[in-house]
Amino acid sequence: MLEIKNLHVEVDGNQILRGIDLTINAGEVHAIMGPNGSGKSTLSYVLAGKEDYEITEGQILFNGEDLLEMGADERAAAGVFLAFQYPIEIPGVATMTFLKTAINAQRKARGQDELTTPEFMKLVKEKSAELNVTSDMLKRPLNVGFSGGEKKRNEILQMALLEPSLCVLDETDSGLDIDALRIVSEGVNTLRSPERAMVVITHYQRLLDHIVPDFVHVLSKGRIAKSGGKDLALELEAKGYADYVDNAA
Amino acid sequence: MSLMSADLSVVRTDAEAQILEHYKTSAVSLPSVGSNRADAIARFEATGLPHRRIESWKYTDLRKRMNAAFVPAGEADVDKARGLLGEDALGALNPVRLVIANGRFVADLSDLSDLPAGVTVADLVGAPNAEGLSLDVASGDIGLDLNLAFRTGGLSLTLTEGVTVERPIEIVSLVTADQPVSSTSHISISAEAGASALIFERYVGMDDAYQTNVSASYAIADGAEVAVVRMQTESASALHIGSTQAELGADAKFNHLSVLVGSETARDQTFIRFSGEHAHAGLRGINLSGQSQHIDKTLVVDHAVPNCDSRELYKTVVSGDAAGIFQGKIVVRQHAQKTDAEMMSQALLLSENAEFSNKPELEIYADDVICAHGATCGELDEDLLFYLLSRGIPRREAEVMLVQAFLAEAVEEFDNRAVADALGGLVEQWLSQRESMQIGG
Repeated sequence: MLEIKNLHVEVDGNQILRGIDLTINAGEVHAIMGPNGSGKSTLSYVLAGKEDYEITEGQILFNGEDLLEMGADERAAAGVFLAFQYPIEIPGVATMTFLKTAINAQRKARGQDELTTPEFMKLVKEKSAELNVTSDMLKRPLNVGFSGGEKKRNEILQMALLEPSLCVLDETDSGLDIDALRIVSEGVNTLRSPERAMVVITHYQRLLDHIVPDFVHVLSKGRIAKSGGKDLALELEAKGYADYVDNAA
Repeated sequence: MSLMSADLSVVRTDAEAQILEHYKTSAVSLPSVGSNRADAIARFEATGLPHRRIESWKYTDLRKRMNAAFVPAGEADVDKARGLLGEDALGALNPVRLVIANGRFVADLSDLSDLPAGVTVADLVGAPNAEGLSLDVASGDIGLDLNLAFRTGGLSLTLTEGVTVERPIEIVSLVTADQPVSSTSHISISAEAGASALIFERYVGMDDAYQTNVSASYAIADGAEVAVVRMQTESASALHIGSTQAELGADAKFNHLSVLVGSETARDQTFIRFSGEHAHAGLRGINLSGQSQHIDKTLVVDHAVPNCDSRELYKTVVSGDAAGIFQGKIVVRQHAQKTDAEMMSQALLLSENAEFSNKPELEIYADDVICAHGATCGELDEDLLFYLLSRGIPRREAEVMLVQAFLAEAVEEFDNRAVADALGGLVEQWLSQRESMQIGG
């Protein structure tokens, strides 16, 4: 589904990613771990299509197509979803309006019929109940006045509604207490399917107790320093990132 | 002396000479509408059109922007006027409609038989309170003087003491003719003690060029509550000069929302005076300036008595090669203690060539007041935009959402759902008509 080949990325002249190779197939969950500044968030933004990141070398293929040639909105319509580390507050944009606009924009881009208001309401009601997103939250402007946990639940609600084929979760566990972490993880696990791939970016192993990955990669100084199975995460938890920081330095 | 006056002889622009000429030809036939035309034209003769060295008009140099003064319009063709009214402009609000065309009240197009209880309407010509207010802070303004000199009519409206008028009142002022014309009108509104109403002023016109000078006066007695939505949607080649004066009695409430979208050049000025204690004024506005438009919103609030509060919030969006201007001045007189005034002006620039000038002024002579102003000016936030794009919302649609979000605050504070809906449509239309909304491009 996703093939990242020799990806080099610069931001303001600083090289952040220095040759990433990663292949992700449908149905797989890949965890990307690493110390601060290793390039984890950069990778997620490059996948989602944020501007200001210069790709100096390499390519990304998504279902065989050149992802880097597509705008952020086109990537979303094609099935890429980024759950933000820090979801943005947008005063003046109603949450429901935003959700409906996003769903129907994607459906339109894919040549599907747009959802009617009753169809949309039914869908939101069903999905929000699973994630404990209250109707009060949905009535507020987008993410405004939401707690950290509410914002993350809202991200996963969007993921559930938009049904992407590639989910990138950028430090979804940051700022969550244990209960919120459980709700969010359950939401993510419900979305695991043979047709869907996930990239779970995290600094800590604890998220991976809840969302158990098939593969774990350690990112260090812009490269994948080590790959392994889910046990690699436990090893990192025990020994820390010291090896990787030192090696790269 | 004669030598000196020869040296200082005034060089008039074409438009200035034409204005004086039009006055000479038409003054004899102008009806009596309570204003002292001779004094007003004499002041104009002495000063000429406003230019950049006149501080209150510094951003709107009419001497440069007005190449000609069009002839005063005759009576409008009723069918053509009807065509400009826009049947569903206010949708579900279902207002009582009153129409002024080419500076004259048109009874045939007005719902006179359908007036709510407590509302009296009369043609300005011959009406007892025709002249309306002439506030200190507005005196000598050249835009207003030209209105006083040339006004041909309009209407006078009275809200009877203690009556709450449920159905909104819509006053449409329009211009239509077979040639470029100028039109000058006045509406004089008196809200008697304890009366309340919601009034829409709409300004529209033909597609061809025209010049319009409109004035509105709101005398709001003790305890009265008047809400006004002013929708300036003149056509693209119009010149619009609009003045509003309002005077508030004790415990009165005045909520004013101006939405300035139309015309090539527009100056919209609002003068407010507090004359009774414990009154409140909420003054808000949305200014949308695109292509090569020039839209100037000027506001003067005169806190002349103690214990009143005012809130000013103006949102400006500028795109293309357009200019937006906000001048806001709050005066707090020496004995106006416990005044509470807070002014905010925010602008969003959507293109490289868009220009916004902001001039907030506080003139405070009292020593126990709360008075603040703030101003911001910026582009659309790239992070907000990326968030919307990353959810599959195309750039243009995302930009429209963010512009609407930016404007929403000014309308929300007006606190009327039907009004918000009517204005939302207007904003959406303006945004969709724009050819391109490139950021930084």
